[in-house]
Amino acid sequence: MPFRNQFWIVAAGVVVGICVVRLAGPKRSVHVPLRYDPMEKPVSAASGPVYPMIRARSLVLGDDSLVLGLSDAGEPGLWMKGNHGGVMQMGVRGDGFPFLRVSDELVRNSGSAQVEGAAASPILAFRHEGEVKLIFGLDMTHPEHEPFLAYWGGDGKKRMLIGDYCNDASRICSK
Amino acid sequence: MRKILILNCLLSHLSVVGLSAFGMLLGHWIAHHDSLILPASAADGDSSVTRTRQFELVDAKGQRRALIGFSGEGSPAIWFFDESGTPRLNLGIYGDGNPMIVLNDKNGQAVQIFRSVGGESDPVLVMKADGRDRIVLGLDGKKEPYLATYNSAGIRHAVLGN
Repeated sequence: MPFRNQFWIVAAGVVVGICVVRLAGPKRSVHVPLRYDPMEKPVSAASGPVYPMIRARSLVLGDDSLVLGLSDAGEPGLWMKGNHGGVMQMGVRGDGFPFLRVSDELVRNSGSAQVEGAAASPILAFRHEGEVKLIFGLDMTHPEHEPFLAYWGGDGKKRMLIGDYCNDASRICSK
Repeated sequence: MRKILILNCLLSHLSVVGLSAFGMLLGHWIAHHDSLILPASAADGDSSVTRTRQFELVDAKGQRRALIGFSGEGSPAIWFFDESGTPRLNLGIYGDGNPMIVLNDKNGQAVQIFRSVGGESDPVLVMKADGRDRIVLGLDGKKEPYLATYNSAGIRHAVLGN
Protein backbone atom coordinates (compact mmCIF):
# COMPACT_ATOMS: atom_id res chain seq x y z
CA MET A 1 0.00 0.00 0.00
CA PRO A 2 1.46 3.43 -0.91
CA PHE A 3 2.59 5.53 2.04
CA ARG A 4 0.20 8.36 1.03
CA ASN A 5 -2.78 6.05 1.39
CA GLN A 6 -1.56 4.85 4.78
CA PHE A 7 -1.30 8.46 5.97
CA TRP A 8 -4.85 9.30 4.95
CA ILE A 9 -6.20 6.14 6.56
CA VAL A 10 -4.54 7.04 9.88
CA ALA A 11 -5.68 10.67 9.54
CA ALA A 12 -9.25 9.57 8.91
CA GLY A 13 -8.99 7.33 11.96
CA VAL A 14 -7.77 10.24 14.09
CA VAL A 15 -10.69 12.40 12.98
CA VAL A 16 -13.16 9.60 13.65
CA GLY A 17 -11.58 8.96 17.06
CA ILE A 18 -11.83 12.61 18.08
CA CYS A 19 -15.41 12.85 16.82
CA VAL A 20 -16.41 9.73 18.73
CA VAL A 21 -14.98 11.11 21.99
CA ARG A 22 -16.49 14.56 21.44
CA LEU A 23 -19.95 13.34 20.50
CA ALA A 24 -20.35 10.20 22.55
CA GLY A 25 -17.87 10.71 25.34
CA PRO A 26 -18.63 12.29 28.70
CA LYS A 27 -19.17 16.02 28.56
CA ARG A 28 -16.49 17.79 30.51
CA SER A 29 -18.23 21.13 30.80
CA VAL A 30 -21.79 20.45 31.84
CA HIS A 31 -23.83 23.13 33.56
CA VAL A 32 -25.42 21.70 36.68
CA PRO A 33 -28.35 23.82 37.86
CA LEU A 34 -27.94 24.75 41.50
CA ARG A 35 -30.76 23.29 43.53
CA TYR A 36 -30.08 21.78 46.90
CA ASP A 37 -26.83 20.21 45.87
CA PRO A 38 -23.47 21.64 46.74
CA MET A 39 -21.83 23.64 44.03
CA GLU A 40 -18.90 22.22 42.19
CA LYS A 41 -15.58 23.53 43.29
CA PRO A 42 -14.15 26.17 40.98
CA VAL A 43 -11.34 25.05 38.75
CA SER A 44 -8.13 26.00 40.47
CA ALA A 45 -6.09 28.60 38.73
CA ALA A 46 -2.90 27.61 37.05
CA SER A 47 0.38 29.02 38.18
CA GLY A 48 0.90 32.74 37.80
CA PRO A 49 1.88 35.81 39.74
CA VAL A 50 0.14 36.31 43.09
CA TYR A 51 -0.40 39.96 43.89
CA PRO A 52 -0.30 40.85 47.61
CA MET A 53 -3.33 43.09 47.21
CA ILE A 54 -5.59 44.46 44.49
CA ARG A 55 -7.76 47.52 45.02
CA ALA A 56 -10.47 48.37 42.54
CA ARG A 57 -13.86 50.05 42.13
CA SER A 58 -15.39 46.80 40.90
CA LEU A 59 -14.59 43.19 40.22
CA VAL A 60 -16.32 41.47 37.32
CA LEU A 61 -16.05 37.82 36.44
CA GLY A 62 -16.92 36.66 32.97
CA ASP A 63 -19.88 38.19 31.24
CA ASP A 64 -21.13 40.05 34.34
CA SER A 65 -22.10 36.73 35.88
CA LEU A 66 -20.44 37.89 39.08
CA VAL A 67 -20.01 41.52 40.01
CA LEU A 68 -18.55 42.83 43.22
CA GLY A 69 -19.10 46.54 43.19
CA LEU A 70 -21.13 49.48 44.37
CA SER A 71 -24.88 49.81 43.95
CA ASP A 72 -26.64 52.90 42.62
CA ALA A 73 -26.93 53.96 46.26
CA GLY A 74 -23.17 53.72 46.58
CA GLU A 75 -23.23 50.69 48.87
CA PRO A 76 -21.13 47.59 48.35
CA GLY A 77 -22.68 44.40 47.03
CA LEU A 78 -22.04 41.14 45.32
CA TRP A 79 -24.31 40.09 42.48
CA MET A 80 -24.27 36.67 40.91
CA LYS A 81 -26.53 35.44 38.15
CA GLY A 82 -26.88 31.92 36.88
CA ASN A 83 -27.37 30.65 33.36
CA HIS A 84 -31.03 29.90 34.02
CA GLY A 85 -32.12 33.13 35.66
CA GLY A 86 -31.22 32.51 39.28
CA VAL A 87 -29.77 35.50 41.06
CA MET A 88 -27.92 35.86 44.32
CA GLN A 89 -27.35 39.26 45.83
CA MET A 90 -25.75 40.29 49.05
CA GLY A 91 -24.29 43.39 50.55
CA VAL A 92 -25.36 46.59 52.23
CA ARG A 93 -28.54 48.45 51.27
CA GLY A 94 -28.83 52.21 50.89
CA ASP A 95 -30.11 52.47 54.48
CA GLY A 96 -27.00 50.67 55.75
CA PHE A 97 -28.67 47.35 56.55
CA PRO A 98 -27.08 44.13 55.31
CA PHE A 99 -29.00 41.64 53.23
CA LEU A 100 -28.59 38.38 51.37
CA ARG A 101 -31.11 37.23 48.81
CA VAL A 102 -31.54 34.31 46.44
CA SER A 103 -34.19 34.81 43.81
CA ASP A 104 -35.31 34.43 40.25
CA GLU A 105 -34.23 37.00 37.70
CA LEU A 106 -37.15 39.36 38.32
CA VAL A 107 -36.94 38.92 42.09
CA ARG A 108 -40.54 37.68 42.17
CA ASN A 109 -39.69 34.54 44.07
CA SER A 110 -37.05 34.87 46.69
CA GLY A 111 -35.62 33.95 50.02
CA SER A 112 -33.84 36.63 51.94
CA ALA A 113 -32.00 37.19 55.16
CA GLN A 114 -31.89 40.81 56.17
CA VAL A 115 -31.83 43.24 59.04
CA GLU A 116 -34.72 45.67 59.47
CA GLY A 117 -36.00 48.45 61.69
CA ALA A 118 -34.64 50.81 64.28
CA ALA A 119 -33.58 47.93 66.50
CA ALA A 120 -31.79 46.11 63.66
CA SER A 121 -34.04 43.04 63.86
CA PRO A 122 -32.91 39.94 61.99
CA ILE A 123 -35.49 38.76 59.46
CA LEU A 124 -35.78 35.74 57.21
CA ALA A 125 -38.44 36.01 54.51
CA PHE A 126 -39.67 33.86 51.64
CA ARG A 127 -41.65 35.46 48.84
CA HIS A 128 -43.69 33.98 46.01
CA GLU A 129 -44.77 36.17 43.11
CA GLY A 130 -43.66 39.17 45.10
CA GLU A 131 -45.79 38.41 48.14
CA VAL A 132 -44.39 37.38 51.48
CA LYS A 133 -45.42 33.81 52.24
CA LEU A 134 -43.32 33.23 55.33
CA ILE A 135 -41.51 35.62 57.59
CA PHE A 136 -39.47 34.73 60.61
CA GLY A 137 -37.45 36.86 62.96
CA LEU A 138 -37.49 39.28 65.86
CA ASP A 139 -40.12 41.97 66.28
CA MET A 140 -39.11 45.14 64.45
CA THR A 141 -41.24 47.57 66.43
CA HIS A 142 -41.70 46.21 69.91
CA PRO A 143 -38.85 47.13 72.29
CA GLU A 144 -38.66 43.57 73.63
CA HIS A 145 -37.93 42.18 70.14
CA GLU A 146 -40.01 39.05 70.66
CA PRO A 147 -39.55 36.21 68.15
CA PHE A 148 -42.26 35.64 65.57
CA LEU A 149 -42.97 33.32 62.68
CA ALA A 150 -45.86 34.16 60.36
CA TYR A 151 -46.98 32.47 57.18
CA TRP A 152 -49.71 32.90 54.61
CA GLY A 153 -51.66 29.95 53.21
CA GLY A 154 -53.44 29.62 49.90
CA ASP A 155 -56.40 31.63 51.23
CA GLY A 156 -54.12 34.61 51.81
CA LYS A 157 -54.74 34.69 55.53
CA LYS A 158 -51.92 35.32 57.91
CA ARG A 159 -51.25 32.63 60.47
CA MET A 160 -48.92 32.96 63.40
CA LEU A 161 -46.82 30.02 64.49
CA ILE A 162 -44.73 31.97 66.97
CA GLY A 163 -45.40 35.36 68.54
CA ASP A 164 -47.00 38.16 66.60
CA TYR A 165 -46.08 39.94 63.42
CA CYS A 166 -47.35 43.25 62.15
CA ASN A 167 -47.54 43.20 58.38
CA ASP A 168 -49.21 46.57 58.05
CA ALA A 169 -47.06 48.90 56.01
CA SER A 170 -47.45 51.53 58.70
CA ARG A 171 -46.27 49.02 61.29
CA ILE A 172 -49.31 49.97 63.37
CA CYS A 173 -51.06 46.76 64.28
CA SER A 174 -53.62 46.07 66.93
CA LYS A 175 -52.76 42.88 68.73
CA MET B 1 0.78 -17.34 -7.35
CA ARG B 2 -2.93 -17.12 -6.61
CA LYS B 3 -2.22 -17.74 -2.92
CA ILE B 4 0.31 -14.90 -2.90
CA LEU B 5 -2.22 -12.57 -4.48
CA ILE B 6 -4.85 -13.54 -1.89
CA LEU B 7 -2.33 -13.09 0.91
CA ASN B 8 -1.34 -9.64 -0.44
CA CYS B 9 -4.98 -8.65 -0.68
CA LEU B 10 -5.63 -9.88 2.85
CA LEU B 11 -2.61 -8.04 4.21
CA SER B 12 -3.70 -4.89 2.43
CA HIS B 13 -7.16 -5.08 3.99
CA LEU B 14 -5.72 -5.88 7.39
CA SER B 15 -3.34 -2.94 7.18
CA VAL B 16 -6.27 -0.62 6.33
CA VAL B 17 -8.18 -1.91 9.34
CA GLY B 18 -5.09 -1.76 11.56
CA LEU B 19 -4.09 1.72 10.47
CA SER B 20 -7.59 3.11 10.85
CA ALA B 21 -7.85 1.50 14.30
CA PHE B 22 -4.50 3.03 15.23
CA GLY B 23 -5.74 6.41 13.96
CA MET B 24 -8.93 6.15 16.01
CA LEU B 25 -6.99 5.27 19.13
CA LEU B 26 -4.69 8.22 18.47
CA GLY B 27 -7.71 10.49 17.96
CA HIS B 28 -9.25 9.21 21.17
CA TRP B 29 -6.05 10.01 23.06
CA ILE B 30 -5.79 13.47 21.48
CA ALA B 31 -9.38 14.29 22.41
CA HIS B 32 -8.64 13.50 26.05
CA HIS B 33 -5.33 15.33 26.13
CA ASP B 34 -6.02 18.37 24.00
CA SER B 35 -4.82 20.63 26.80
CA LEU B 36 -1.35 19.20 26.25
CA ILE B 37 -1.49 20.16 22.62
CA LEU B 38 -3.40 23.45 22.68
CA PRO B 39 -1.62 26.50 24.08
CA ALA B 40 -2.30 26.96 27.79
CA SER B 41 -3.98 30.31 27.28
CA ALA B 42 -6.51 28.78 24.94
CA ALA B 43 -7.08 25.66 27.01
CA ASP B 44 -7.31 27.05 30.51
CA GLY B 45 -7.50 30.78 30.07
CA ASP B 46 -4.41 31.41 32.19
CA SER B 47 -4.32 35.03 31.15
CA SER B 48 -7.90 35.48 32.39
CA VAL B 49 -6.98 34.54 35.95
CA THR B 50 -5.70 37.16 38.33
CA ARG B 51 -4.43 35.83 41.63
CA THR B 52 -4.15 37.84 44.78
CA ARG B 53 -4.10 37.37 48.51
CA GLN B 54 -6.47 40.25 49.17
CA PHE B 55 -8.99 42.23 47.16
CA GLU B 56 -10.39 45.56 48.30
CA LEU B 57 -13.40 47.25 46.79
CA VAL B 58 -13.12 51.01 47.23
CA ASP B 59 -15.70 53.72 46.67
CA ALA B 60 -15.21 57.05 44.93
CA LYS B 61 -13.63 58.48 48.09
CA GLY B 62 -11.12 55.65 48.19
CA GLN B 63 -12.78 54.19 51.27
CA ARG B 64 -12.76 50.42 51.65
CA ARG B 65 -16.30 49.05 51.22
CA ALA B 66 -15.68 45.35 50.71
CA LEU B 67 -12.79 43.05 51.31
CA ILE B 68 -12.00 39.54 50.15
CA GLY B 69 -9.14 38.09 52.11
CA PHE B 70 -8.16 35.92 55.00
CA SER B 71 -9.38 36.17 58.57
CA GLY B 72 -7.12 36.17 61.62
CA GLU B 73 -7.68 32.40 61.69
CA GLY B 74 -6.20 32.12 58.23
CA SER B 75 -9.42 31.14 56.47
CA PRO B 76 -11.01 32.96 53.52
CA ALA B 77 -13.83 35.46 53.99
CA ILE B 78 -15.65 38.41 52.48
CA TRP B 79 -16.62 41.51 54.44
CA PHE B 80 -18.97 44.29 53.37
CA PHE B 81 -18.67 47.64 55.14
CA ASP B 82 -21.17 50.46 55.55
CA GLU B 83 -20.33 54.09 54.98
CA SER B 84 -18.84 54.42 58.46
CA GLY B 85 -16.50 51.49 57.87
CA THR B 86 -18.40 49.08 60.13
CA PRO B 87 -18.57 45.49 58.84
CA ARG B 88 -22.27 44.75 58.19
CA LEU B 89 -22.13 41.49 56.29
CA ASN B 90 -19.52 38.79 56.58
CA LEU B 91 -19.33 35.40 54.98
CA GLY B 92 -16.56 32.91 54.91
CA ILE B 93 -15.02 29.99 56.70
CA TYR B 94 -14.19 29.78 60.39
CA GLY B 95 -10.81 28.49 61.48
CA ASP B 96 -12.35 25.09 62.31
CA GLY B 97 -13.55 24.75 58.72
CA ASN B 98 -17.21 25.55 59.28
CA PRO B 99 -18.78 28.08 56.90
CA MET B 100 -20.80 31.07 58.07
CA ILE B 101 -22.84 34.07 56.97
CA VAL B 102 -23.24 36.86 59.53
CA LEU B 103 -25.39 40.00 59.34
CA ASN B 104 -24.41 42.77 61.75
CA ASP B 105 -26.08 45.85 63.19
CA LYS B 106 -24.63 49.33 62.86
CA ASN B 107 -22.25 48.66 65.74
CA GLY B 108 -20.84 45.62 64.02
CA GLN B 109 -22.57 43.29 66.46
CA ALA B 110 -23.94 40.07 64.97
CA VAL B 111 -27.75 39.88 64.77
CA GLN B 112 -28.20 36.98 62.38
CA ILE B 113 -25.82 34.06 61.99
CA PHE B 114 -26.24 31.20 59.59
CA ARG B 115 -23.46 28.69 60.00
CA SER B 116 -22.51 25.10 60.62
CA VAL B 117 -21.16 23.92 63.92
CA GLY B 118 -18.80 21.21 65.13
CA GLY B 119 -17.00 18.37 63.50
CA GLU B 120 -20.14 17.15 61.76
CA SER B 121 -21.08 20.63 60.55
CA ASP B 122 -24.59 20.72 61.98
CA PRO B 123 -26.46 23.66 60.41
CA VAL B 124 -27.77 26.38 62.69
CA LEU B 125 -29.49 29.74 62.33
CA VAL B 126 -29.22 32.16 65.25
CA MET B 127 -31.04 35.48 65.59
CA LYS B 128 -29.93 37.90 68.27
CA ALA B 129 -31.05 41.10 69.92
CA ASP B 130 -28.79 43.19 72.13
CA GLY B 131 -26.11 40.51 71.86
CA ARG B 132 -28.32 37.73 73.22
CA ASP B 133 -29.66 34.71 71.37
CA ARG B 134 -33.43 35.03 70.81
CA ILE B 135 -34.03 32.38 68.15
CA VAL B 136 -31.99 29.26 67.52
CA LEU B 137 -32.99 26.91 64.70
CA GLY B 138 -31.02 23.97 63.44
CA LEU B 139 -30.15 20.33 63.62
CA ASP B 140 -28.71 18.89 66.81
CA GLY B 141 -25.91 16.37 67.22
CA LYS B 142 -28.34 13.53 66.49
CA LYS B 143 -29.43 15.36 63.31
CA GLU B 144 -32.85 16.09 64.77
CA PRO B 145 -34.38 19.50 64.05
CA TYR B 146 -34.97 21.96 66.85
CA LEU B 147 -36.29 25.47 67.19
CA ALA B 148 -35.98 27.40 70.42
CA THR B 149 -36.93 30.96 71.24
CA TYR B 150 -35.84 33.06 74.20
CA ASN B 151 -37.89 35.87 75.68
CA SER B 152 -36.44 39.17 76.79
CA ALA B 153 -35.74 37.69 80.23
CA GLY B 154 -33.67 34.92 78.64
CA ILE B 155 -36.19 32.16 79.37
CA ARG B 156 -36.04 29.44 76.78
CA HIS B 157 -39.07 28.06 75.01
CA ALA B 158 -38.61 24.93 72.89
CA VAL B 159 -40.93 25.22 69.90
CA LEU B 160 -39.61 22.13 68.20
CA GLY B 161 -37.26 19.39 69.31
CA ASN B 162 -34.89 19.75 72.19
